[in-house]
Amino acid sequence: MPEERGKDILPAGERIHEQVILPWNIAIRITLRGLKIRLGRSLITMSGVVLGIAFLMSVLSGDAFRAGLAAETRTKTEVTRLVKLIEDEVGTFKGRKIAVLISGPVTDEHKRRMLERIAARSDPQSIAVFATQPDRLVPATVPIPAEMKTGAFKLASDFADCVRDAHVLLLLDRELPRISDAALAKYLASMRQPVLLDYYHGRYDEAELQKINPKIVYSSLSYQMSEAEIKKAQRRKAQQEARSIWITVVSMLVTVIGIANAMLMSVTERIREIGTMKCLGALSKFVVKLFLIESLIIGVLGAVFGTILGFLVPFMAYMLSAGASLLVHSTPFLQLAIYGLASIAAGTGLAIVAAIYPAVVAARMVPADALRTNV
Amino acid sequence: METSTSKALSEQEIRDFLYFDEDIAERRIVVRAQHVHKTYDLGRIKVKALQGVDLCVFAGEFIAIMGPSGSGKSTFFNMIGGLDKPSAGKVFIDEVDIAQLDAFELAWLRCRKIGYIFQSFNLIPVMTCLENVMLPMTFAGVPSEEAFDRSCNILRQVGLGHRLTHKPPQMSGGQQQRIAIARALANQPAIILADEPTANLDTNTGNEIIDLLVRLQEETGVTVISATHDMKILDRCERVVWIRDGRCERIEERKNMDIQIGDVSGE
Repeated sequence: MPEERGKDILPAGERIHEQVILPWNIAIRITLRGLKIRLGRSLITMSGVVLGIAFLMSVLSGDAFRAGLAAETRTKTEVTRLVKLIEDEVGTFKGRKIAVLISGPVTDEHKRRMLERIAARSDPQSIAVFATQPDRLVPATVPIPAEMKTGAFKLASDFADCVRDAHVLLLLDRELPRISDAALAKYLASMRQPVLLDYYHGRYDEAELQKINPKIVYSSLSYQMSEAEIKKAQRRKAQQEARSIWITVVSMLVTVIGIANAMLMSVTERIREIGTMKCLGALSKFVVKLFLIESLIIGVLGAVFGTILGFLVPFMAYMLSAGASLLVHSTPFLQLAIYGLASIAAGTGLAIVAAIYPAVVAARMVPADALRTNV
Repeated sequence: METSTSKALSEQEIRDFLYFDEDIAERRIVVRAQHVHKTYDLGRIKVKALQGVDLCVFAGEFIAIMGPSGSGKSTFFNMIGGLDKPSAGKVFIDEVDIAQLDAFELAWLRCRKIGYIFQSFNLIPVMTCLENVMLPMTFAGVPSEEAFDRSCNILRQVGLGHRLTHKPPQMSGGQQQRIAIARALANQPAIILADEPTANLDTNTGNEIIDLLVRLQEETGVTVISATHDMKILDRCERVVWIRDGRCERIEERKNMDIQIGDVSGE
């Protein structure tokens, strides 16, 4: 009897099988076509991802630009301070012969900038740069900008000549080997108006120096922050860090919610369609697969556009306020590239996670309920 | 909601009740519902949509499930189509208890053995007419060239051979329902479930759809189960199941019923 009855719905020898088929290429084709036809809707969903990621990226890149510019400003201020200090002691560099002996806690960048500044603004007759050895001065290893290697700038191959009759600026510190007093005295004695600027004041005895050359000026280059100032600076730094973390966390949340909302909407409004597909024999995983591909495409495209947007907008804004060359010069591009990759990964991941959850829920619904749903 | 339990019937009583006619008792049973209950839990109240429905559907017949709105006919319809699971009772499709099937088997059954037609068509709006019909074939693993040819043939059968590449939203309700019928037939199913197939259509179009269904049923021998309150469907079917307040009120044969359809067709 059962075979007899079964004939109609299941021909003899056939039994109920398991549904397994939805090849990836067909799934991708269905998804792409769906995206193309629903272009408006897809673009709106994607714009949710774009805006979220653009916001995140703009916060991150804004931070990077600001940090770069702040570092640049600090360098500039320090160089200005050093140059001003020297000028205060020596007077203008115009037409003078200058021997610079620099080393110490001033970074190579500082030294380079300082030389640039001196050369650019006061047209000295010549500049030579030295470093100390115990018994003599040697040519310094400071990176010298190409445009300064011509003209007034001299490398110290003929430094004895450079020092003679020069207005010497000696910027000393403890990191280089100390030049012997005898050697120093020899150099100082031959100078027209020696100025000794010591990064750590008190290394030489002023009275002794006076004996060598009565015209000598001995002064300190260092700037010591007071205890209160250090504390204030530390507090300000901590505050800034806290604010920066807060903004980043908030922007992450906004991104998560924005993307989740966009993807949720895109899935829930198609619950009926999911129900229909299940009536036609689609397994839950077919449906999830279709939405996985769709959210992957939307996520990747949205995150890439968002990252570009989130980089360009703050870049333009800072370019207008700080100037293009300064911004390009000071921006940590490697760090920005890492931020960009992280943003793209975050956007894609979020889009998938946010879409997969409602898709799984919808796909697991009893088809009758899915079909009844009106959104 | 009144709360009453259905009187339990013995197996023999059900058989007596159902197989009152010797001819029918000889026929194969495709779908059998046994004491089907369905309760929707709406939080504070529980709605008893079905309170013990029994029914046998025979192979190759055209059966209508009739009842007013809210009678539970759509719920019952979903049960026998394997779209929903009963709270109590059993539904057998071809003597297989569908509650025993796992998701894979249920999907297979829906894909190949049952074709669904809905009141609101439920076509996938982004796909063309042809793609809508090809979709269940894709799920069934039919190679795309074969699926293409077969879909074209079926669409020609339902009179849409000239609109293969149109999308459902560009088409009239009657045409959309024809696509839905074509889609239901895609994998040569044994049963077609039509949930109020004419409810969203005007009289003339509705008549055409009924004609089409009857023609296809006669040509292919497919079993058609239609939930409806359209008298014109009653006029054309073989048996009518009356559902009221979640119970099977009576089952009548067309030949024992007196239906006269007035002709109100206009221009």
